[in-house]
Amino acid sequence: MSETLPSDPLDNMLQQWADERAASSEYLDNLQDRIVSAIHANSSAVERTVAEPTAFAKSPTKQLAYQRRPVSLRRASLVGRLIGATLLALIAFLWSAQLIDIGVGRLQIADAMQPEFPDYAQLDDGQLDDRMIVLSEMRDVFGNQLNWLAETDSRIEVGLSGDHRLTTEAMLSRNDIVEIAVRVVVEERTSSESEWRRTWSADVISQNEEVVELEAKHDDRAAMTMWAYVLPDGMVAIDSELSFSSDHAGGETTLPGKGETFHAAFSNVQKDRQPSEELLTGEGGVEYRVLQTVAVLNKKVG
Amino acid sequence: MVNTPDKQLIELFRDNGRQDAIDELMRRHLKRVRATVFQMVHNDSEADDVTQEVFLRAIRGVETFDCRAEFSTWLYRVTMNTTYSYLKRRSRSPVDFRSELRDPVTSADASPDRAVLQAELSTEVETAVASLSPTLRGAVVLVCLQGFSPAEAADIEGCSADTIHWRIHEGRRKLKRLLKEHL
Repeated sequence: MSETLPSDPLDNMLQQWADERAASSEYLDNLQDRIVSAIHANSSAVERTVAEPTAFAKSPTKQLAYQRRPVSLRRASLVGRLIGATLLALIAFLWSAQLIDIGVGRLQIADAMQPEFPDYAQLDDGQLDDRMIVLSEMRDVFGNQLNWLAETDSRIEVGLSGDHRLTTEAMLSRNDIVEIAVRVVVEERTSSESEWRRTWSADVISQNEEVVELEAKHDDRAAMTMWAYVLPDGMVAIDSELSFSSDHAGGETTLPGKGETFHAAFSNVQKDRQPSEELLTGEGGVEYRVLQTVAVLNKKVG
Repeated sequence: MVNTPDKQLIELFRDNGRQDAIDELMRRHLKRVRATVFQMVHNDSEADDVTQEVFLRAIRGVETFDCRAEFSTWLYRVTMNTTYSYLKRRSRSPVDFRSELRDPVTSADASPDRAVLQAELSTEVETAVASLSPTLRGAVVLVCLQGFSPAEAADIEGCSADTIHWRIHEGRRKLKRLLKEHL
C-alpha cells in the first residue's frame, strides 16, 4: 500500500480556490469562439488592407503577423537577417579585438547613452565607507542578530533575526555573507518641463537574500520591501516594492496630486552602482521618479 | 492534428498558413492560459480580455518563436508579460477590479451553511492572493497552482531560479500570515 505525503494546508486551500474559480468547458468554448473571431477579424482587416496598397501605406501599424507572407519574401527576409547577423558578429569581433580604433569615441557614446542621474542617487566610495562604519557599530551592539540596517530621512531602523533563526551553522557561515547597499530616492516634479526635486530617500544595507521590510510609521509615510541577491557575475538581482504617499512628498510646496499613494516595484538585475529608474504619473500631471542604486560591499563587515 | 506536437503545429501555421493549427494550439492551451490570467487578475471579464490579447500577441509574434525552445514556455512568457502590462495599466485606474466577482462554484451536495462558509473562505483566499505584489503572485500562480517547476517559472519570468524560490517563499509566507485563521 503506497502512502502519500500530506499536502500543505495552504496548497490545498489555494488549489480549492483555483478549482472553484475555474471556467467551465462551455465557458471556455465560448471564449475560444470569441478569440478565433477576433483573430479572423484582425486577419481579414489585414487582407483588406493588402488589397488596397495606398490604404496600407497609410496605416502600416495595422499589419499583423497573422497575414501570411509569400515564401519568396520570407526567404529574402531570412537571407537579409542572416547577412545582418553576420555583419553584427563581425563588428562585435572587431570591436572586442580592438581592430576598430574608436577608443575615446566609444566611451563618449556609452556615457551619452546613460540617462542623467543626480549625485544624490549615486553611491560613491566615501558614502559606502560611512555606511560600513555605521554597520560595524551596529554589529557591536546587536552582534550576529543584525540582518539589515536602513536609514531614511527621519529614522534609522534595524532588522534583527530571532534566536530561532540564528542557528550555529548560520553563525559560522556569517563571515562569508555578502553585504549589499541599496539607495532608493523618490523625486517629483510638477510637469515634464520642470526640474526633478528629491522628496524621500532611504539607504539600506542588507545581507544577501535577506528580506528587508521597512514599514511606514511615525513621520515616514513610505513603506518598502526589498530582497537582493548577488549573482556569480557580480550583478545584483533585486526585487523591491515601495509605497509612498505624495502627502508627505514635497513639504514646501502644495502639489496637485497631494494625498495620493503610489507604488513602485523593481524586479530586475542591476549593475553595481548603476541606478535604475521607474517613472510614475499622479493627478494633475505631477510626475514621480524612483531611482534605485545597488552596490556590493566587502564580504566581511565589523 | 490532435496528436501533432506543438512545434509541428507552429511550423504548419508559419509555413503553410494552416489556421486550424492555431485553433488546435488554442484548444490545448486556452484552459491553462485563461486560468493563469484569472489567478492573476481575479476578474472574469478582464481575464477573458487579457487571454484574448495573449493569443493575439502570440500569433503576431509567432514568427519570432524559436522552434528549439519549448512552445509552452514561450506562450506562458507572453501570458505573464501581457498580464503584468495589464496589471500595471489597471493600477493607474481607480476602478474596483473585483466588482464583477462572480459567486464561487460550490459542490451540489454542500449544505447551505457549509456553502456560505466555503464561499467566504474562497473570497478570503482570493483577497489574500490579490494582496501579493504581481511578481510574488506570478511565482505562486505559476509554481503552486499551474505546476511549473521553479526552473520553468524562472525561464518564463526571465529571472534566476533563486529569485523564483524567494518569491514563492515570500508569497507563501504572506499568504500564511493572511490566512492563518484557516490554516
